[in-house]
Formats: sequence, structure tokens, C-alpha cells
Amino acid sequence: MIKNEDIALRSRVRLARNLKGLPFPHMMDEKQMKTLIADVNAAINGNGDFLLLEMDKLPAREKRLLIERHLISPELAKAGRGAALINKEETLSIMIGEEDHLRIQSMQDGLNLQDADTLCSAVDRLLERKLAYAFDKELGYLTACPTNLGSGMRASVMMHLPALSMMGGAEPLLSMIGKLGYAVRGYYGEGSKAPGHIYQISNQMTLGILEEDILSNLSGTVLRILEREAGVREPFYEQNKLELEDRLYRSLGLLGYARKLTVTEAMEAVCDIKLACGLGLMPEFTQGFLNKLLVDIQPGALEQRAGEEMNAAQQEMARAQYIREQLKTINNEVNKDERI
Amino acid sequence: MICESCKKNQASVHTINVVNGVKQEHYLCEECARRVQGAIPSLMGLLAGFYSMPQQEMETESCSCGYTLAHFQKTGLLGCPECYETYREQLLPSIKRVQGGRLKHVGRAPDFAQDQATQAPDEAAKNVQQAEPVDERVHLKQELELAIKEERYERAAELRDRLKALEGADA
Ligand SMILES: [Zn+2]
Ligand SMILES: [Zn+2]
Repeated sequence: MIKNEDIALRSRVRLARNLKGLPFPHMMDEKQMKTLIADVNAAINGNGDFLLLEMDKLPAREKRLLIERHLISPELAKAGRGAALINKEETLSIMIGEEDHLRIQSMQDGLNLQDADTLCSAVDRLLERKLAYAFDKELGYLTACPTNLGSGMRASVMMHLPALSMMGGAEPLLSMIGKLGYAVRGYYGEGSKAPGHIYQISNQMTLGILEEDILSNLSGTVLRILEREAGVREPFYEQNKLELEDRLYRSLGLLGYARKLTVTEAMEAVCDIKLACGLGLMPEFTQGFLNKLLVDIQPGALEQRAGEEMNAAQQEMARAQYIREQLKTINNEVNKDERI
Repeated sequence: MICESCKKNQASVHTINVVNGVKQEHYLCEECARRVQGAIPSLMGLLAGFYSMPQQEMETESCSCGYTLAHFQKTGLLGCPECYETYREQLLPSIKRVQGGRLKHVGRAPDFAQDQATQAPDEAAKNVQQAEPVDERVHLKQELELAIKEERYERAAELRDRLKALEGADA
């Protein structure tokens, strides 16, 4: 009934790399930064497979969109310099001049760290042949912050844990996992809360562990959390049927009729529909549709669609309207099916 | 002091985090601290050792990039890759703390570093080959003495020849 992709939403692998003889980005001057961008672009983008986006030339709106799609970090956008190379499928991006000279990262749907790593390490190999990496045989790949030394690998999986979270079981479980060497964060990354019960689990240690072990340990941990969530969902629903159904259908009502929605309100309601969908309620929805909706209601995506900058009030209206329209397309399809 | 997060309870936990190179200090109640625990990888361990270091050592510019350990303590970042060579001794205890006690890279390496790595066993093999004749000579001498004592002269002659050959090769 409950599929793994309903709980483990997305996987990401990131490799931190730096070049020999060059200060770390926070110590680089403008000329060094421009040269670095040009060198990396020349090393990997000879065929024009990647889109080169320079942060000092990119409008704020487009940066927000890239952050929402997890293609660049908020830190790179804020720095106002550096660049990102992004492949056409938007499954791989190379951030240039963030905390490290290079951050190679790949995103995959569901629990799929292997494919993310395969993509990252293929690009890593190509770059390694053209650029002189800073490497030490004791400390591994040298990084600006010692927390990334060794493999330079940070792997993370985004998880939707509504039942555990509502039962109060998520916090103790995640704090225990924190003690086992994993970091747990909310949807927006560093230090944020978790709207819609979405959490990101990642490895903390990078030195003295084989990359394969980082990936398989994290996958194993994610699977254990996933089993817990799947295990409590049905009993939680059975025990709180009226309460939970009331909450989930209220969320459906909110999405279907509200005239103004904040990001958090909308995300929480969409995540409620995801839970309902997973429990077999609201069969008209698919997880894929809801995952896409989660991305499409973020501020940058709304502005992109409108083609202009919007203030908070305009965004809330646009968000509510967009969601109403999307829900109508689903209801129309349902009605069509019923007529047949 | 009141907890920064809930603004209700008395703060009893002091946390230090480094996010994007900026050190952030927080005063939280126990409940809120538990909530954020693990949310941000705490660099408390990374920087702890440097509070007791003499100021002069902290501010000495030993690396060509101009970065000092005082800078590192403030930002949680090094200035350039060579900083790890320059400040290795001072950094190792902190690295060990944040990396779960491990200090030896075991994973992937660039080709140039792998060449070094494959050279190392060759060197070791050479040493073993050099060591072997010495051991064999000792062994042969013992066997020769035993052969003479037991009046097995044919065997003794054979052993003497082999010893001579080995010593000749060495010289
Ligand atoms: Zn508090
Ligand atoms: Zn340096």
C-alpha cells in the first residue's frame, strides 16, 4: 500500500573539491573567481552540455527558482558571485565558488543515492583530469571547512514522516539518529523547522569512511526510518480515524477554496494530501502530482510563472489561485472518468 | 537569560554553530536545544581546543595565504589548502573530534595520488626483497653449522656454495 517513494522523496549526493595553489573562495579576489569559473567551464563544458549561470549576472528571481529546485544553495545566491553549471536534465549541478571551489551535486527522485553518486563521480573524474585537485593522502580531499575533509561527500535523503511526527515519535527517533552521526534538517536546510513533516537526513562524518559505506549506511538508516513510518501509519489512522480524516479533508478544502495561502500553509496542506493519498483516501491524487505541486508553489516558481517580481501578498494570492486551478484539472479528470 | 527560540523558558544550553563561515551562538532552553540538536552540525567540538591556545600562537601568520588560527576560530574555515600543511599539528585534534576519531582517508583519490599509493607497495616489496637475502644467509649459516656437526659434508658443500653466491651478489 505505502510505497517507498511516498516516504523517501528525494536523494542527493554532493562532493566538495578544491584546487591546489588557490585560496578558498572566501579569500579569493574577483579576478581569481572569474578565472576559476572560466577554467571549470572550459574543463567540463566543451560540448555545451551544461548551462553556465553566473551569480553576479543572474536576477534575484532566477536565483530563488534555482534554490527551490535545489540546484544552487542559498549561500551561493547570497554571495553574489561564483557560478553554477547545470545539466539539461537538472539532475546535476556544479557550484563554483561556494564554500569550496567546487561542489558537484546530483539529485534523484526517491531513495536512490547510487545513481546520484554515479553521476557525481563521473563528473568528478572528468574534472580531475583537467584541474589540479588539492589532495592529501592522510586528510583526503582538502576542503575549506574540516567537517568535509576526506571524501568531501555529503549524502542526504529528504523524508516525509507525518505519522511519526504527529505521534511525537519523529523527534526522539531523529535525535537518536543525530547521535549516530547523521544530521537532521528541515525542508529548507540548515537550522530550519520542518513544515509538512519533511526532514532531510544526511551523513556528518566524511573522513576515514569509504564513499560506498557512507551511501550504504545512510540508505540503511533511511530504510529503517521508512519502515517505522510505514509501520505506524495504518495503526495511527485506525486509532484516530475521525480526527485525521477531518484534518486531511480540511486541508483539501483549504487548497480548493482559499484565496490567500502562505508557503508554509500550502506546504502543510499539500503534505496532508500526500498522507491521505498514501492511506488510500483521495485516490484522485498521485504522489507525483503532489511532489510537483510542492515545488510549483514556492515563491521563485510563482514569480517565474508570472514573469515578474511579486510582494508577499501578491504571492499568497497567486499561490492560492494556482492551487485551485491545479485541483480543478484533477476534478475534471475524475468527472470525465465518471461519465465514461 | 530567556531561551531565544520559545522566548518562554530559562535558557540553559549555549550552542555554537558555524553556518556558511559565520559563527552563530545561541542560548536555548533544554527543550528547544533538544529540538535543534542534530539539526545543525555543531562545530563546538571543532573549535573547542582553540580557546586555550596562547593568543600569540593564534595570531601568527604562518601560511602564505595570510590566514591565522584566530581567523579559523572565528569562521570555522581555513584560508587555503596549504593551511592544512601549515597548521596540521594544531588542527589534527579538532579534525579528529569532528570526524568521529578518524584521521586517515580511505576512499577515492585522484589519479596522481593513486600513483603514489601504488608506488608505496612497490617500495615495500623492494625492502622485503632486500631483507630476504639477509634472513636466508642467517638461515643458511645455521644449516651449514648443523651439517658440519652432523658430518653431512655433501650437504655442507652445497650450502657453502649458496652462501658464497649470496655474499658475492651482495658485494
Ligand atoms: Zn525554548
Ligand atoms: Zn593558507
